[in-house]
Amino acid sequence: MPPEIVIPAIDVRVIAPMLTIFAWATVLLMVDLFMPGKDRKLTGYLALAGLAVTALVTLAVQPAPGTSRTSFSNMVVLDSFGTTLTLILLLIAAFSIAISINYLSYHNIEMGEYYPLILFATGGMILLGQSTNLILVFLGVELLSITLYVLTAFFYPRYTSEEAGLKYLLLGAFAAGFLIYGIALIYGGAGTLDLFEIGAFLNTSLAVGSAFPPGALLVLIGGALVLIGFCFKISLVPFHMWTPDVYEGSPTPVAAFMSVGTKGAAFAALLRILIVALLPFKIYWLPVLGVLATLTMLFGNIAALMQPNMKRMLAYSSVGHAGYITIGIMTAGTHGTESFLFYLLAYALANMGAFAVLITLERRGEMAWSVDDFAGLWKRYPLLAIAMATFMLSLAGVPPTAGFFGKFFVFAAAWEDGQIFLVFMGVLSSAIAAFFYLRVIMRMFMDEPVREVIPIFNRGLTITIGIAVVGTIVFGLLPTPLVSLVQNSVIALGVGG
Amino acid sequence: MLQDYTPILVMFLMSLFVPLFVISLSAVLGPKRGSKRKLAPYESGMEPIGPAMRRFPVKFYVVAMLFILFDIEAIFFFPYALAFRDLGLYGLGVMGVFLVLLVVGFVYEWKKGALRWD
Repeated sequence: MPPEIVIPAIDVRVIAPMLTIFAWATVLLMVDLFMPGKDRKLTGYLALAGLAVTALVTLAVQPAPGTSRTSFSNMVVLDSFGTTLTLILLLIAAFSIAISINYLSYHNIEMGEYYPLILFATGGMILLGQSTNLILVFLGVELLSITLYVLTAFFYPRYTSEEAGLKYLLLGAFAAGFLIYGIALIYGGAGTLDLFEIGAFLNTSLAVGSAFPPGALLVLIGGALVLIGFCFKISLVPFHMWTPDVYEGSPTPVAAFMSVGTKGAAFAALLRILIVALLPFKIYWLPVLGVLATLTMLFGNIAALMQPNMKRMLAYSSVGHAGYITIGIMTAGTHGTESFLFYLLAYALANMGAFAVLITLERRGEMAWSVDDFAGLWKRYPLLAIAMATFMLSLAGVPPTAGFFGKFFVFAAAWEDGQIFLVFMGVLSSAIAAFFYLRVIMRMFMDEPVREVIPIFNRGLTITIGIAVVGTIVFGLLPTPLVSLVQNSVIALGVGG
Repeated sequence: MLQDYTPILVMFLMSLFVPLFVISLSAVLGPKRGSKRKLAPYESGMEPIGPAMRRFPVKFYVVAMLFILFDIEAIFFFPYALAFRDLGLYGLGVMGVFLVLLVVGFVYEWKKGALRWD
């Protein structure tokens, strides 16, 4: 007698955002296939429309304040944290596509697959932010990674792009190995892959007696391996080696997309794992993350000091910012969620803007991205110089920009949790970082032009830079609406909680 | 407890025995008129020995990818066929979605010319 098959109750609303974006990407792939002509801009615009539709769907199905919905045997959850993160990720994807549309045709790498790939990667990121089961976390990581392997190698036939794709593939496979092995160990220890059940298992098994139960030990080791897997994706020192090479080799919009989107989604999944499943182990992961965050902030920012190449500088600066976000998620359980979301949005605006400015200065067939190109920009293109200065100030964390409040909330949350040393290291490394961000501003405003540079403008770039500047300054002057938004974005700690 | 795994052990021994038996049988009974070509290691029709840094057609890779596509389809369809009645309309819908995604991949391959060999 075969066992009875129980079909799980399905609440489509929980996966509606993912469903929309995946369906749109699939249809878009077909539409692009049958679209005549060589011009692929229409595919890009359709992809933007898909992101807008997904955002509307996300808003339509968002749960009532303080509630959450789970479905598919509690494998996926839709809580206000997931909704906010999804909206931020959609904004990042929209920026990436807007700055790509003319970039691809200008550099002769225009292919219709680019846009569905970005949509699939975004869907993977959304899944990562919503999954409450380690298998789905792995699925999300792979979904965004595999699409990004292709996207990093998209600059055919440039060798550095192929090198970037291969490097990212090899290290990504390595990281996936750590991740899946850790997940297997956690399953061996806890007997479940469900984050809620792992948390409940740890609570009960640690409460009994004083001895450390063997099941919990397996979960601890598995959790460490999962953390290593994530460290590769979010490029924490010492797992960051691939970052500058991959960012430099990949097409600039893809580098921009990776530096914010991948990091944001992977951090969100890590935050959920830490809060929902591994909170009983806080005494173990807190010092580990503290060391990683300190190393990342110091190394990332010091390495960025040495870079004459703007793209590598932004890559190392993104490593440094991963360190600050790590401080944010270390306060998981108190203010981790809100400081993470605020920092992510502030960082996304400034970083996408900075990459967009980089694209305006990128020449066909050249791979320089030298800081020299920015010299004297103020005299020729004052608006562009002001925009770049805003992004640099926001990345450095200078008021009145959104970046300042991002850093402020992260440090305030860590201070409240008693992480005085980390706050000290964070402020110290911010001071180091200010040097190379301000150096770009100095070159733009004080120096004479080194060589003739004619920026390329188009609608997508202008709108992206405009939104990024306005957002950075508005959220820097009036952070209250955003603060209340992120404070209402809570991670569901229990089923239907 | 461990007895439950006896079939697996038997299966393991069988899968060890059968190929060994067949290979030794062909070695004993088969005619041995080897030529240089016949004795060369099998490399899918490629020259087996040569420099590693040479160009070779990526067409094999595409064929392998296509094979995986349909392999996965078959792997998912066998258990579905077994549970077809129990899953009912729900199962039909889910497999329909699965099949649509496969067909999309297939149409993509086709239109991109992955099935053309030249």
